[in-house]
Amino acid sequence: MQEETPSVGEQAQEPEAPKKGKKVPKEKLDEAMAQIAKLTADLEHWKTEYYKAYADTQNLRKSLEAEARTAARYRSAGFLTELLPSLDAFNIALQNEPPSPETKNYLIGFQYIFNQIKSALEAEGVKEVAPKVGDEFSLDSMHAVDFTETDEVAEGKVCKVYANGYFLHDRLIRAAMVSIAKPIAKPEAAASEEAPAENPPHQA
Amino acid sequence: MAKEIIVGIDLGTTNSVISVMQADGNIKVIPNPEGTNTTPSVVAFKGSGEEIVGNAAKRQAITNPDTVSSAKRSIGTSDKFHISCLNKDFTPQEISAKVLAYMKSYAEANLGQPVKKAVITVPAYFNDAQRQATKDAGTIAGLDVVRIINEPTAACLAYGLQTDKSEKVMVFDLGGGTFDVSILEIGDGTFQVLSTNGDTRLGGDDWDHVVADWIAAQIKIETGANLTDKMARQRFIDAAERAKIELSSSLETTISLPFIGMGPNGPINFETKLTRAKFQDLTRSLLERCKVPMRNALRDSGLSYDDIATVLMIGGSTRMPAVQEMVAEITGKKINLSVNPDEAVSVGAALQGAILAGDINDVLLLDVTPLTLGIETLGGIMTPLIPRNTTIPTTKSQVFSTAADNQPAVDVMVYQGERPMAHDNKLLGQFTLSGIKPARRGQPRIEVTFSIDQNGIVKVSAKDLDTQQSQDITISGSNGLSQADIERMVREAEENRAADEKRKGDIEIKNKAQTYVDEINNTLNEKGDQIPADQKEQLTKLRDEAQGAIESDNIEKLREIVGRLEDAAAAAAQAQAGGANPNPGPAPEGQAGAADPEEADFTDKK
Repeated sequence: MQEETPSVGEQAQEPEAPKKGKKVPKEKLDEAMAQIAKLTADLEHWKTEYYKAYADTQNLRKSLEAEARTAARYRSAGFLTELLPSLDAFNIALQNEPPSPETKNYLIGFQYIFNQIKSALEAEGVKEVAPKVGDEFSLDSMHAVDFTETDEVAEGKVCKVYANGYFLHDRLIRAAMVSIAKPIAKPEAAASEEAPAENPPHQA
Repeated sequence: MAKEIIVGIDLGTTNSVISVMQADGNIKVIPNPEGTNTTPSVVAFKGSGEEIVGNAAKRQAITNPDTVSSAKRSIGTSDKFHISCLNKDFTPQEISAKVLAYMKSYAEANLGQPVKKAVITVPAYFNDAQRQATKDAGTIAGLDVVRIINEPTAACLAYGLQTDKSEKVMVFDLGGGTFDVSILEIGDGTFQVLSTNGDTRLGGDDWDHVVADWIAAQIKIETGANLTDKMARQRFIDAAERAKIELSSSLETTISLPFIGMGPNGPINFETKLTRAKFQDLTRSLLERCKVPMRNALRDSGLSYDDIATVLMIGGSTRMPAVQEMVAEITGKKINLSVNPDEAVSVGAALQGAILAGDINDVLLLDVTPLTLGIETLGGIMTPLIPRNTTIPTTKSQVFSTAADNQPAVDVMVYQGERPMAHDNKLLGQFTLSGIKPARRGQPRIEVTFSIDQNGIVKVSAKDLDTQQSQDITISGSNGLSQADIERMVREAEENRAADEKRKGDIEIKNKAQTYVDEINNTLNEKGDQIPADQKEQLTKLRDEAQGAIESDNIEKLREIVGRLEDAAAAAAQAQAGGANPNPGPAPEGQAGAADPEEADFTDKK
């Protein structure tokens, strides 16, 4: 029987097939067994690596799909941010008392245009935050810019609205900018001039 | 498969960023629940025991004296923050820990797995006490801080600087409120800080304020109105910031402030143009202030600019062209801007985390095929199968067909390159598949498969799906092209794109017209007598017109009549139908969106 020769192109080193009838020396057998063990280990390793890589691909796809869904949901966020100065300007413009009946009609017209813009924004999922004087301050939707001293509004409540806020679905794009009421500071009681105070006030 | 991850955290004075390396080797910056990548390092306390962190805390800061916003400035000292509503003192590390804990929780929610380990960055000038306190902050937050690294070092990592070769680097960090310059020596696997300098009161906000002042002055000049109220000032600053950002990519911008105030004639509206040149003129002194720390850091390091190999730019304000030009001019180096400057430090920390987690070794660095591979099809067109920059190993198949009736064999010519015409690309090899059964052109289905193994060896096979006969060739060393060659081929494709596209378009019209002419011919030949005479005459006339245009290469004419040809061919097919299958042509094989199977440019082997 002819000795097998390894075919062209084979990668692995094939051990020589033993001649028929001859006993296989122990070291040849050990060598073959060791190689089998090594190849089996390699196979296990690459099988595991393959499954890991495959699973990673699946997981990556899932997370990319989730990101794509989020991006689609909040796609208008950037555009809305760009629009904010215009929306603010509309609000400011329409706050003013018209000086003449003619101007009043223009302002009414502009209010209608603004309403149309707001409708379109609502359809896209935009919600306006329009606090009123006297409202409770809510840190989820408002940004306290400063204090205003006043006795007309209860302390800690909204007493001025600088700008409205906007949500896109559940994401706050820009908080409403408000001023918080603070009681008017009373002038210091005139210091007694008759006698020096016994216990002069300590340095704070 | 929840592998242990180590996140990277940039714990900043004003804002913090958290990021992590994903399974595919890319770093992801993790957004907070409000959808932004940066979280303000602000913590607020309420009497109810409620703690507020991040944007929400910032929004209520002025109403709540128990809001802490700059814990980083006192970390590592014995300063304490007294929270009156709880009558309790907190150390700076306890405050920072709350910021870290908040980031940890939203990272866990985003990643869907626990986050236990982190790398946190600190300024290069932090002393031992400050570093230890930062580490403690992490521990208090429930994180195992595996490493504290310097911010400029993180920047180097983000920019992919390798520590195997020795070099000296300058890191220029201009943020919203602070400016830091560091000089590092990299080599032998380490990053060593040689010197640091900076200006803790110089940042992008200063540029905004200069422009806001100018706007107020312009309004005074143009309208006489002196607008100093808070609301107006805020609008000036917002408009200034927007203009600054615009001018980083445009030479001019418009500043528009309708209803900015009320005057004797009613509302005051203001609009003006601001050019980049004027902006740079207004803010020149700020740029000058940047030069001083650069000079000092260089002096303290004992080096000259000749010794510095590269300059890395981080911090959002380095987006300004004037800043980039100034740095490039002073250092004499080409500046490196390839990493997002707002996130570079966090990204670098995440990279360090990945290295420590052993991820960098695990991530298989796979090659990509540098140039598009495809075959030549009817008319000499290059039909791509594997686009350039596809990660390998990869396999792609597509079904083609014959160009002539009774064509018995196909020549598969394998080309590599970006030009739309096959002969402008490089021929890698070719082979022939024969034994195709006699059939009308476009009927046989020949599946061509390209596969590239991880060593870049390309195998192309063609299989007749009817006879099951196949042939293939193996092409190795197809990347005998150097990087310069590859770049040249891509560049040439760009330069010739318009002309190439036109040529390809012309050929495609011709092919299409020929297909319709053939369909009409088939109908006339086979069912000619069944078609009404006037329709037959129309068809014949149209066919002749088209055939003539094809032969004389009259592309204009073909463009004009191809619509009518298409309709006529469809009508002819209808007429021929009568129960049998309509004229085959649109066989939806393989390629999505393609009506016809692509026709290979096969020469008749006879």
